[in-house]
Amino acid sequence: MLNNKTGWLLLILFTLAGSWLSGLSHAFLALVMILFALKFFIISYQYMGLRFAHPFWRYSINIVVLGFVSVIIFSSL
Amino acid sequence: MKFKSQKVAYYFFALSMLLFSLQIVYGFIMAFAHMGFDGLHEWIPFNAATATHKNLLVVWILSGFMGAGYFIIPDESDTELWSVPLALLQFYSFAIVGVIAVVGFHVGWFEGRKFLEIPRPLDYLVALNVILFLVILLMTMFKGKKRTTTAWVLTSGLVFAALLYLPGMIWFDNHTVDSFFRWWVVHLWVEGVWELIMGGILAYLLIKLTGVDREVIEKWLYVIVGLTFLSGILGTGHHYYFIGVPKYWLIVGGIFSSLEPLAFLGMTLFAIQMYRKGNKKHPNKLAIYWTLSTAVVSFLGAGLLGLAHTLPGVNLYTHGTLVTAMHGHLAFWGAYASLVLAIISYSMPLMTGRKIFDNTIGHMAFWFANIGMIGMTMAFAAAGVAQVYMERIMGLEFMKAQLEIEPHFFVLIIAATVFSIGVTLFIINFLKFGSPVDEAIGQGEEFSALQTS
Amino acid sequence: MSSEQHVLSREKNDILHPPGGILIWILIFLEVITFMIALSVFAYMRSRNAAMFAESQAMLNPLLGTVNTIVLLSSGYFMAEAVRKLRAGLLKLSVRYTLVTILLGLVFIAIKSFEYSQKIEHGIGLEYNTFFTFYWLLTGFHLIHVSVGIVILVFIYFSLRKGRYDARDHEDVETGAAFWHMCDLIWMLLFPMLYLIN
Repeated sequence: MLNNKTGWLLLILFTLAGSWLSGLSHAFLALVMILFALKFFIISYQYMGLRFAHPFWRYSINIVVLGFVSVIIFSSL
Repeated sequence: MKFKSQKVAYYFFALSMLLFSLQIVYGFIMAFAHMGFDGLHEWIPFNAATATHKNLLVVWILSGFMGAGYFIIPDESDTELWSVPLALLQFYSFAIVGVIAVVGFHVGWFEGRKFLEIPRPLDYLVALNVILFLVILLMTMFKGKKRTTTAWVLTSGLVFAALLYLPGMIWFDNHTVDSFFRWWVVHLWVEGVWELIMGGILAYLLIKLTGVDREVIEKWLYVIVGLTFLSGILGTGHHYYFIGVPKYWLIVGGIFSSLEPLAFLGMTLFAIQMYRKGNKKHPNKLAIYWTLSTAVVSFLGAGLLGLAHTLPGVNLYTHGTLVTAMHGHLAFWGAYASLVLAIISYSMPLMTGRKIFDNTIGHMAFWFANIGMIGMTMAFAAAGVAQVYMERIMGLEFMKAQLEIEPHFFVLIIAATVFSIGVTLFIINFLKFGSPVDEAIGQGEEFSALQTS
Repeated sequence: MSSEQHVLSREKNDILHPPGGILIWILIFLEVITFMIALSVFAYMRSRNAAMFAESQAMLNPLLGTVNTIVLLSSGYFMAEAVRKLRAGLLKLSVRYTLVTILLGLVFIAIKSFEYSQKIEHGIGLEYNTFFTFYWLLTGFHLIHVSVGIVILVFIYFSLRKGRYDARDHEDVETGAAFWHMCDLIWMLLFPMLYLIN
């Protein structure tokens, strides 16, 4: 179960992984963006308490973030 | 009307109506000139006409705002105006400066900067005048027992508007720097601080007319207005596109000005929502019509038509053409002219005791003016697109393109005639109210039971 | 059900009351969308001039960026903990965590300033090229948000110390925390786009 502490560990892990992967090759673009989207979700759902919010807010943030990330990923292909 | 001193507002509203009529006359002069009938050229050349047309617009709307301030602030602060003689002094000096400026335009006494044509000595008088106005309002507020959010937002809008007049008075030798600050005056007004004034007046009207809880209206409207205001400050960057400033203004102006319609949309939906939520019992139907049309038409004119040419890629072609005139006319009409007409429609019955709430002339005025203005906007749009195509894409010379689009001004004049009929009917209604009387005190108090559902 | 879930569950399924208040969430959405629009324009510009963007990106320091990301994320963690402790009634811990949040926020600003000063030393300003125009504008606007967030947190810190909030009444703290987390959210978009991917 995710809590603030495990959330923080994941955030740091994803940050380091993202920096490392992007340093290896630019082919990892999609992966890096997905890692950062995951971090976005950890912050909003866990830290900001969005997981207790009305579905409207959860769906809205999902759509906005996934929309943006897919635009960036697909436009780079 | 709660207080005797609120009657001062009438003078400003009357001046508004007078200047508005004059503005329309100058509009016709220019429309005919565009068609080739420039018989008045000797006395009113085009540059004088356009300067007069635009400055009268700003001045009559400001006059309306001042009237609104004198009407709303005593009501909201629950006290008489701080000083009626000073308010009258402010009114007369305002009118006199206005007349001198307009006459000056016809004898060649003006600065050639768009919207800031008023010569420098008069600038100082305007500044003094506005300071006096603000002092009266602030003293009234501090004298009163209540200080509502609405009163604060309205007053701060007026204070900021006054402060933003100053950058236009500084002398710069560099044309680009001068242009940069010139946009701070009228355009940071209309996209920024006037939104605060608009928010204050709209909130006041919605509280009075819909009967929805003050708290609900204030909280929401100010969020929306705040967003408009914030996006508007950097959105003003869309005036900087091709005037010689650094390139990053393309990005800043493009992004922030694209956000402005969102806030306007919020305002429209909110006003309609409040009306539907309200008890719909207030008898002053005309004021409700004008209030809602302010919300709707400002979205169409300022929001959508602004968005139509705010992106740098589009603006590259439309900059400084009649497309701007299209946007400008509906935006000013929707956002600010309708707002002044709304507060006039609301306050006049209360000041005079004559219950002209729902008469045929009033409704005809509303529909003629709005339909006429939309027709004018369409005529400008057609002319503007044709001008852009011929001038910027085909590379025709400016005057040759102007010759080609002459027929569009015929349509414009027809639509403008419909519009003028509407405005004339509004003014007839205004005159029917007569002048305000002391007996009208307490007028409208019977509606206060309708408030706060 | 933990106490935290209990406090939050009263707001569940209420569209008008997301955690921290609806107004801050409207603001968050507008902010996030604004930055996304800017980043989309950035991505479009990059697709038109990939070589120049790659060259310019190589001039950034990804190590500093990564460190700063970790600093910001950690401050977010402490803020979330501060709110959690407050809900549990542990006021003293809440005050302490808020202070740590503020200090980490200041560290972020310090590192960012160092990065900026290096850029300025090398003569890389706002108008160096399109990439750096975006770099300065995006990180600059983000930095403004961080600074505003710190001012908000300082207010909250002093109010907490005065005991203005408790386990039941602390919506202002939640709102301020949401603003602070928003800075993290924006940085989660900016950092990979500007520093990492190409």
